[in-house]
Amino acid sequence: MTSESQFEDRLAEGLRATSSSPDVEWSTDRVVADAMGRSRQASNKWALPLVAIAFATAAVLVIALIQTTPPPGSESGEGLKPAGATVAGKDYLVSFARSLQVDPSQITPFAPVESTTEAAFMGELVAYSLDGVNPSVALVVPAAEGAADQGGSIGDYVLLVRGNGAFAALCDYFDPASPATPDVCRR
Amino acid sequence: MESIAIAADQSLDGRLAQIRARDSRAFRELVELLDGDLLRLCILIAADSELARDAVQETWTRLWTRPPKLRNPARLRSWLLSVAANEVRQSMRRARLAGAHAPIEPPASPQASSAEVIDLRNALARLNHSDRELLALKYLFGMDSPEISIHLGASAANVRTRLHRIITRLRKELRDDE
Repeated sequence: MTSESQFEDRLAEGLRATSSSPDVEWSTDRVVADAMGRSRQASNKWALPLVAIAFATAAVLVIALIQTTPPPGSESGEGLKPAGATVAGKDYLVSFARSLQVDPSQITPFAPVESTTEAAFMGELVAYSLDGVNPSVALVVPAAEGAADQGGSIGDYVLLVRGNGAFAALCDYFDPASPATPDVCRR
Repeated sequence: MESIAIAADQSLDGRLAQIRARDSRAFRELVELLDGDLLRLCILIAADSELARDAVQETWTRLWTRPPKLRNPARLRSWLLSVAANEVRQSMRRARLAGAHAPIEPPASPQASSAEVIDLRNALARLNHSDRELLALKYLFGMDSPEISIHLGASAANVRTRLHRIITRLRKELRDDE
């Protein structure tokens, strides 16, 4: 055994000892009860405010709809805010990329989606980094089951992108033959 | 090198589906299997056992409340480790902002009483939390560089370089302490 591997063995042993803390090692029963209890508390705690928010939102939407419904034949969609999401304190644009081809083994949980205008399209509010892609440039979020817009199914993932050139960093994940692939990745 | 034994990820295959179906027994079994691992990782990152416990508890609550839809359920263990690490980093950030986090002082434990372990603890305390996370993934969980690179979202080459740098530094510091 080399001195290097001996050192690594000692290091592993030391790390195990250092990371052991019996005073905070709860029993399984306590961990489970606490997790389930907190989830119940959370649902009770938010029930009333959520109902209130739902009513308020519905009222605002109705008023907004009345005031902003365009006359027949006019262009709709102008002035809409861009779809966005905030992850790890950074703002991303939300994009649907139907020709994105991502294998689950190529993604790693990165951080929770702190806020987004497009939660309805997201299956979980967790952003994942893609192998070989700087997470400051692009992330993906698993799409909600059956999520679709006017163009049909949005695919398996919602894309979060930042800055110019974000799509160029994703070319390995796009099918170059697909008409839905960004121009920069077409060959 | 001996690493802490972790059940093969394949054994977690059906567990996520059971938890999504609100199977509390499956949830309990998973906690029993992995709570200690998550706690060790968080203790090494935060060097604060209370923050670590809270982060791990948040992770379990989140799994029960909002189980992820992983395309590959065998990645559940990796997901849990990532979420726990992320939770404890956020707790550290909040504690620092609140001015409540004391300088890093890894927790004492009955097992951590030998001079060698105390020296190691002090050397670890001088590393930053991401370096301690890297060491935990490598030496506590026995992950290789490609696995760690997937976990951290870095390249395998970057992981190898960082590990080499950390080990060199630790060897030097621990030799210097002798």
